[in-house]
Amino acid sequence: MPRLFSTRRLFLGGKNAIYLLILGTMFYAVMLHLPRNFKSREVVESYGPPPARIFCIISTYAYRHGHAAIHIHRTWVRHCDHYLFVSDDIDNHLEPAVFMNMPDKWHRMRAYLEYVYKYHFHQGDWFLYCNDDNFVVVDNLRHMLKTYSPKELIYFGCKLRTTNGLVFMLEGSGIVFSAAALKRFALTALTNESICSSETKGNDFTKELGRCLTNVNVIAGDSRDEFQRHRFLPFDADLHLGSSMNESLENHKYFLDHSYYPVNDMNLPVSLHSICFHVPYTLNIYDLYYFAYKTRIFGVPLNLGFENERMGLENKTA
Amino acid sequence: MGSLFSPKKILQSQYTMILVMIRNIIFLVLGIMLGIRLTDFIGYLKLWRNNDLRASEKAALLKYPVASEEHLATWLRREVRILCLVLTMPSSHATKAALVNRTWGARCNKLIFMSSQTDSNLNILQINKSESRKNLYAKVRTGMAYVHKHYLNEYDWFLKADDDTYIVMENLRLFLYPYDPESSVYFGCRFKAYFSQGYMSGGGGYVLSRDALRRLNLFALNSTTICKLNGESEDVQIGHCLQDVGVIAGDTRDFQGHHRFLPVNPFTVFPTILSNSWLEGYFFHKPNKSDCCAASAISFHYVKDFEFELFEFFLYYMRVFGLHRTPRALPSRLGFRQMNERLQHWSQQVTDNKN
Repeated sequence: MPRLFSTRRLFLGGKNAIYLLILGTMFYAVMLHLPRNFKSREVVESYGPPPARIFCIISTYAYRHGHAAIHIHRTWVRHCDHYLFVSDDIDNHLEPAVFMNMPDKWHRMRAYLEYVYKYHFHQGDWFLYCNDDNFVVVDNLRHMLKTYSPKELIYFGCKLRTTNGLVFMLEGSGIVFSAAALKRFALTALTNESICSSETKGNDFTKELGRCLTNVNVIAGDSRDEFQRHRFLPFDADLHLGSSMNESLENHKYFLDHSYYPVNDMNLPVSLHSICFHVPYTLNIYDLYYFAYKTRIFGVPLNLGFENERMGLENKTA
Repeated sequence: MGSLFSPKKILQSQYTMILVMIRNIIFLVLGIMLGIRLTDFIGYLKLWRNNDLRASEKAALLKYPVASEEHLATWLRREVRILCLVLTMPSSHATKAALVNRTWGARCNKLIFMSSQTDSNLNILQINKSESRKNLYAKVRTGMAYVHKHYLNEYDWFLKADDDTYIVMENLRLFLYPYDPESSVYFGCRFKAYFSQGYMSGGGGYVLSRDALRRLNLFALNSTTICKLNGESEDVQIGHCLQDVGVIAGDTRDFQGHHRFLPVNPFTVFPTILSNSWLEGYFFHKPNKSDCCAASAISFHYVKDFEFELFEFFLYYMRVFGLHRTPRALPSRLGFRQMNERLQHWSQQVTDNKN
């Protein structure tokens, strides 16, 4: 009877050691691939269609790279899906798109939007233009844009109008273009002198932008929330939250004269889902970022639905 | 006749080959079964890990009948009763004190202002001393004595703050919940001093337990040898008094070493604490200069008038969509032995700030 089931192979030694080593390695490799990271993310996925991709354009200057734009680069800009700094000189950290020898603001605005359309149009559904002294809560912007389609011809901002009815957005408080609006502006408006002028406009470049977009049938959207509270704020957060506007100040008077919506008692109602603030001292951006994203109060929910919204509102007014 | 391939041997060899084939088939089947079982085992490991997470969350929720964090905060308001003593002066009644009354002061269980004049809009304990810095200590002593006489048993913790302090009361209650108010301890932003324990910054606010307030009033304020009036600041003197009567200075940093009580405005500590500033040398526990502040912040100081509304909006009303964190349960209350161990640990702490 030949030995068919040899017991010598069950003992450790010789070839058996090699086989056991291979088996142990395989087992270790399998255990290594088990998922061990159950850490909850800071921003979770939402149900329904994927949120809109927001491309952020931050306008800055060379002399402000070190004390303004770099702080934006470290804080809120990382919440954008893609971002691009536009400036008049290079920088190793910001890696901006450089546009030199353009003293006029309107020429720079046209160049920025044309550049973004040519090279970055595929990277965003909505395009946010802002300055390096803005604090933007990009997640609230993403939520506001859920009810709009990037195929609509629409843009948002702090809405103003002139005495003859022209609607435009305030400079310095953020302007959001839909992809269709940017495409139409770049393809139809920029190439037609009668629709969109290429002369110098100085500080009135947002008026000219409003005129151009109106001429190509782009609608100026209402960026207020369902309680008519403002999300794009024209001035500093401390002015809107703890103080009042002053008619004797020139920029306040300009806003009060041109505001599209009525202003009561020198105060703008501030939305609980605010999007864009003006920050006078740039280092305060870290504080606003700390308050908005880091601090956590026990019992105060961070993501309210509609019903809790009313409760919060009642508590605030009480 | 002498042939090498006899018929008998040929038949035996064929029989052996058949048996070897059967052995190989058996081993192959066993190997496949083992592989399938191993795959099931790996899948079981994954499911077990997922179930473990859900089980821990379920246990956390079952620990208290009301699962919502909002309900826990409402319940906590009655469970951790905090009396707030706020130092103010007549020139600040209409500005800072009114803002405190309308914002964080409304979340105290009881709010008492200490001032030299009364006001119909505020709950003021009138202390007839002229408003100057050297009278602050006497003012605080009078306030502590009054509170000890009238409210010692009605409240658990006694917070002293200035009218330019902002306190997040929910986070303060969450922080104080594990600790026994009958233990002799007080909390605040701990500063270095010439005495070993250090003191708590007055402007950043400090909170005394019931036993600390009792000890302060029974042993210190009635004594002629302890806690004599001298020229030191109010918070230094209070800190020295509390050390002399055996009240231990607690540690209020979170588990990452971030400070919950700030003696300054957060606008001055971001992005970094400036080198060679007065603040850097005062901290008892050396702060991380570029990452100093806790997510569960409790107190800010040197708050300007408009910043009360700014903090109120950003901390309580501002909503960032998509920002989601796991709902938290309350931490366990410390037992007698655990509390004593904690007090022992705090009393043995020495400063690591050499500036």
